[in-house]
Amino acid sequence: MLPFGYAQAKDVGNAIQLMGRAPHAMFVAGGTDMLQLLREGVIEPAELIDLNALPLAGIEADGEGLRIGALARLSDVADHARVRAEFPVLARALAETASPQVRNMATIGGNLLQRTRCLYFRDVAVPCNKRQPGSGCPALDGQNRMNAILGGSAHCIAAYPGDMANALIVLDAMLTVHGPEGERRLKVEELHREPGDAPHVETTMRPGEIITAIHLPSSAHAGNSHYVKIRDRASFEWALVSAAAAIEVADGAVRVARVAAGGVATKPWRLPEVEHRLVGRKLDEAAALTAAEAAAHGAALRPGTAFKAILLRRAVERVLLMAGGLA
Amino acid sequence: MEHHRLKRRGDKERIMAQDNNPSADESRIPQARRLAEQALEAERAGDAEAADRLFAEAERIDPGIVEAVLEEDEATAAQRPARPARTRALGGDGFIARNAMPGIGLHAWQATGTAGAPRTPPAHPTRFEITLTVNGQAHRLAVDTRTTLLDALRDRLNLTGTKKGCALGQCGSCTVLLDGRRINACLMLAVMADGKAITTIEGLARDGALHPVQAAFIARDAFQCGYCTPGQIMSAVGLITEGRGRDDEEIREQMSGNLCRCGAYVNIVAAIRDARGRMEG
Amino acid sequence: MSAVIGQPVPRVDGPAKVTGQAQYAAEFRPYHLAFAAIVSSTIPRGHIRTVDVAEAERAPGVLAIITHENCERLPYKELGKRPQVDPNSGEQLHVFQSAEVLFAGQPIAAVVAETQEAADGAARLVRVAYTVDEPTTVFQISDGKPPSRETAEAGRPAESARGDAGSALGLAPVKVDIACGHAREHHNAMEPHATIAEWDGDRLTLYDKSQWVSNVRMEIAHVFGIPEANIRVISPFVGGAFGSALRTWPHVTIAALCARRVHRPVRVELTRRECFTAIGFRPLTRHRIALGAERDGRLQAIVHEAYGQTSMYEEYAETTLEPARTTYSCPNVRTQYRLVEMNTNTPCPMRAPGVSTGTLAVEMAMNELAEALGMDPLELRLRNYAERDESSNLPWSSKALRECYRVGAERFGWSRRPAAPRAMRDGGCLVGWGMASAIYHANRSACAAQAILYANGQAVVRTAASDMGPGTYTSMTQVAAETLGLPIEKVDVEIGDTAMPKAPVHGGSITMASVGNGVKAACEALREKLRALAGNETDASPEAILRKHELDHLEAEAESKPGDESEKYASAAFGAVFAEVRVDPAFGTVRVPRLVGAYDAGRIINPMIARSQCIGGMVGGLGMALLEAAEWDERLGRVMNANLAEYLVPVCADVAELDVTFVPSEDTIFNPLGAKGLAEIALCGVAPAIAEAVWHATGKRVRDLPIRVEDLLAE
Repeated sequence: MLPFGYAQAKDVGNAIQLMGRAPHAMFVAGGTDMLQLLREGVIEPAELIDLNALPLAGIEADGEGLRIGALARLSDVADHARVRAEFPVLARALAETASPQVRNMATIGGNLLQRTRCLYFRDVAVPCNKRQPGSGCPALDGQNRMNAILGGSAHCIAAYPGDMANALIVLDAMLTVHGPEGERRLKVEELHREPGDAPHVETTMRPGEIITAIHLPSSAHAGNSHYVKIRDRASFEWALVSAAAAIEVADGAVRVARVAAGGVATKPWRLPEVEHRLVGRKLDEAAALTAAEAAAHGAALRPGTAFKAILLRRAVERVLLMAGGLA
Repeated sequence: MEHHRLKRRGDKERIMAQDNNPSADESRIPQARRLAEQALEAERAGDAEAADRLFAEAERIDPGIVEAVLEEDEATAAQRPARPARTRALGGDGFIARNAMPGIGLHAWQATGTAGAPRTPPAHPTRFEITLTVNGQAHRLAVDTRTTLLDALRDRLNLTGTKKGCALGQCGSCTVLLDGRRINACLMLAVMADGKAITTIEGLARDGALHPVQAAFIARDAFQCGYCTPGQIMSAVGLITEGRGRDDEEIREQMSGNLCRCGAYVNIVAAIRDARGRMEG
Repeated sequence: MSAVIGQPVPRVDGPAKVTGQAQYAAEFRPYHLAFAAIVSSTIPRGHIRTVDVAEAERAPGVLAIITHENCERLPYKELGKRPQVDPNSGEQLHVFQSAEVLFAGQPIAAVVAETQEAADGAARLVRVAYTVDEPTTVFQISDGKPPSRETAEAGRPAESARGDAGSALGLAPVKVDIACGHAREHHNAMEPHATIAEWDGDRLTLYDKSQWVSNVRMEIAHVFGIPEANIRVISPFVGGAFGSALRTWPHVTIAALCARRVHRPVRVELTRRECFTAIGFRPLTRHRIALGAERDGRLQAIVHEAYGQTSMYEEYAETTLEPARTTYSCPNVRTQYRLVEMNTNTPCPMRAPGVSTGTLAVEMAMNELAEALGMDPLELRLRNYAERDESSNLPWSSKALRECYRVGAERFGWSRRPAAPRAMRDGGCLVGWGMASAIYHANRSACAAQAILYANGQAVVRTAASDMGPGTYTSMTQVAAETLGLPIEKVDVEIGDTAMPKAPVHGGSITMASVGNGVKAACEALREKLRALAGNETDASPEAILRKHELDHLEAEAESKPGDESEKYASAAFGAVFAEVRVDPAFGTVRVPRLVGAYDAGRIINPMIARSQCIGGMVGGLGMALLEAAEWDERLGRVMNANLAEYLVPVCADVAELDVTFVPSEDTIFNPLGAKGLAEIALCGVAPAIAEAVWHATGKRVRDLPIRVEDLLAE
């Protein structure tokens, strides 16, 4: 690690102000990914602005739903009674994230912004367009088993590694962000970017912005939501493939369907075609299979990642069967 | 090569005109130089595509850097030794797919080194006086902002019972309780732990009597080399305190943040089962 | 006799380990300690063109930077006889002695600073430019070379044969002929390697993570050209090693170099990433194995060809082909061994080196032969039971493998196994059962020990042995207590210090048979002295005898060494391993709900800690079968997953029921104590048993380990 300055922000305004004054600064919250990136030299910020003193850890009712402060720890959210009852996909995704220790430290705001596990991104001895724009992407034809088959470009196929964001997408979750130009709201789905020709730009956050809250709207489909995570180890590993689904069935047919996938795409990946194939149909084994067939449409497969198309379809099929009470 | 260089210089204006990257700034100038040098290395290796890409990126950060580096290169060209010829493309046996980024480009990038970029000094302090309350005892110490809680415990307070296995939050050997909850001490900067109460393995036994989890680990032989053991025990104490681990399957899941390379897992699960019974019984 | 041998005595070092008081190498704190960080090469082959340390030297707290340009020339004197832990040919890496780069991750500079943070930060500022040469980074069996004469003489010959395997294979009515292998694996003991070096004039103290302190002393004496007597190596606790701490790696030399440069003690602690390149690993190995049998299952031919990975600078070779020559009775056996040199760090022994690798091939082939014959895999093994070691044509000093098969099969319920694959289900999962044999040669070396009895009745036993986890402290306490007739509370064992009597390497499952007999001999010598002092007072307590003679202590030293038994007998530990797997047919995920192992390891000194060693071996074998693989970039010559998040070792949730039984056994031909060895046998056989169970569950043969999701996903 190269030396860096440190300042603790007192409140949101102060945090934005501190960031404005120090252009090479980064925010730190739980630090669980940041400390890895610092220790391996992947990021070398001049300053860290600590957000932990901000009063943003609460989980409270918010209109018809739930408002989760961005500094709430993953374990607190996973254990929250209303989250477990009304947003089960989120509780499940969080329970399968990282380790108990990391879940006690990591914040949900920070978790949304965790960086890829691409092996080339994390090793500073090799080129990486995300880490050093223009240096090249050895993952395209290298060890890319954990990389993306959807949303990649000729410059980057790094997978978004997280679990929670996939769950939030099927719950229609919104974010509040604060920045130099004030407060704004956006859908979680709008937060991440595909790499295109600028893999180092990963989100639509503007300079100096902070995620302050996540909003979960209550809904019938949120209450019937499920998460499937496939990994080599039985625990404590990023997803090879994961699938999240939230389904509302009314009068024997699917009224609302939200489906997303993780581990396979460069950002949390909504599957609109799968959703489209479900709406209006009875959710049975045949419907799940037909819908899941569309999950890997448009995937760019490589020798190391080809299996993920099959795995993705099966993960989606399984999560739909769970939603239909069939598995 | 000459043609390539002329083309590169001719492109300069256009590249400068396109430069609207908000992150282009003085602190990245050393990085631009490095990119330009890497481009040069790629060019020498005959990988014009990689060279182009790297030149362009360097120019984007620091307009003029490419010209400067090319001039320096030409000035020293006469002194360079001849390079060994390359006869075989890298890769083998055809089971690597066609290489979008030829291996030679990879090595060219590496050939100029991958060190961190020196920068202007930070605006905020890089050293702090903090207080850590460890096992009930307050310690006042000055730390570098880079010091993790783990290194503060081990290297500064000489509390080496908390182990360093990976320093990346991937093994659990450094598990301690922070305000009662289990965390990885390697993933927290010491300066961020200022004022917090920390319990380490050294603080578990009371008046010479082992904590029930410690005793159960011995009785069930829940370790071999002992290196992951303090972390396992702190994690187990955290698990029981959190009210988790009602059955063996949940204990296994809840203890999966603590690797044990000696493979004592079944004994660890048994020890936790026993200890929880004793603590609750 | 207090009869403490054979009792499940809790670990004597348990209290130190569960309270955090056990002190590992990086945790010593000599006065004025400075800290070093290593700079590693990024390229796999070439030369360092320039090293620019200007920026790094200006960083606050930096004391010195050592590169090949300013490093003192080290003599690296030739070793008279190479220790068995070093490769037999080639030359070890000479630290900072030239600009040549032989592999990616090679240590090329070191930064010493007042704090670890300062050293790490400054290391990021050392700028190195290279001239890149074309590396060899693709493992191609066509590049395989026969081992050198030195390696062949060390029991790893290029070819071996008994009978005429080629003809017999051609004539055999039932054959299997398969290619198989496993990935490059890394030890990843939880404690990273670390050394603290402290000079006092020309005397050097090393606090090191080591399985063999005497050898560290010998090798460092040769590197620096100083007398062995000037060096003391201290290593009381070793946080796992599995073979990675057998050799004396470059960072030990680096620590000593740094300490000499700054005139202060210096600590070098490898990062987890450096643990993939600055030490060794289990080499990637590929096999071709062919078996020919009569229709009744009797083996007629075994042909086993193995290709192992080694570095450009040292020829590391393994006993990979030993299982083919010794496990089963077969008149015609041919083996062939080739080494593939690559730009990588040198591999080294990892738990059951070579044998676990070779066992994988032999046992996979046996299981496929059973299928081809339509015979139960266990029955096939019984029909080919080796009543003597046919490779040396010597009788076994003991062998209870038949009992292992019987007990293991019974505890597992093997007789209920349907012959056909895909025949068992549980819920949505496919269930499969598999088994394999395990064999590991039993060796023994000379060991000296010292036993001291104090007037307060307390005894101390000292020997320069090591305890990387199997329980040397505890088992030696038991041997000493029983031999001296004392309760275990009255015996303290001290190990891991070159100031103690010389012990052999702590590896190859030889510790119990070697150090155990050394301790026994020393304690017997002490008892003799005591008896002589006691004269007619046979009932007097040891304390009383010492008091009477006004002695504050009485000591004895003795050495125990093997006789000529290895010329008359072959000795080995044996085992039978049974595995159950569950496979999710949609996802291809494999879980292992239970493993059963039955072992003949000779006399068991402590059944509780012996069981721990076996369950540990099972977990290691599970990792080999399903998880562990270095992700090697063939262009960069680099392990890309050099951390514990992406190099997967089993976690708690991967392990369910593990059942271990020791069959009655005591091999007093092999050594007076009767113990054989346990560490290696516990790993052998696990991976092929799991692979067979995966076939039995899915009908799919996966012959390249680890078996992963993508191998079992059928469209």
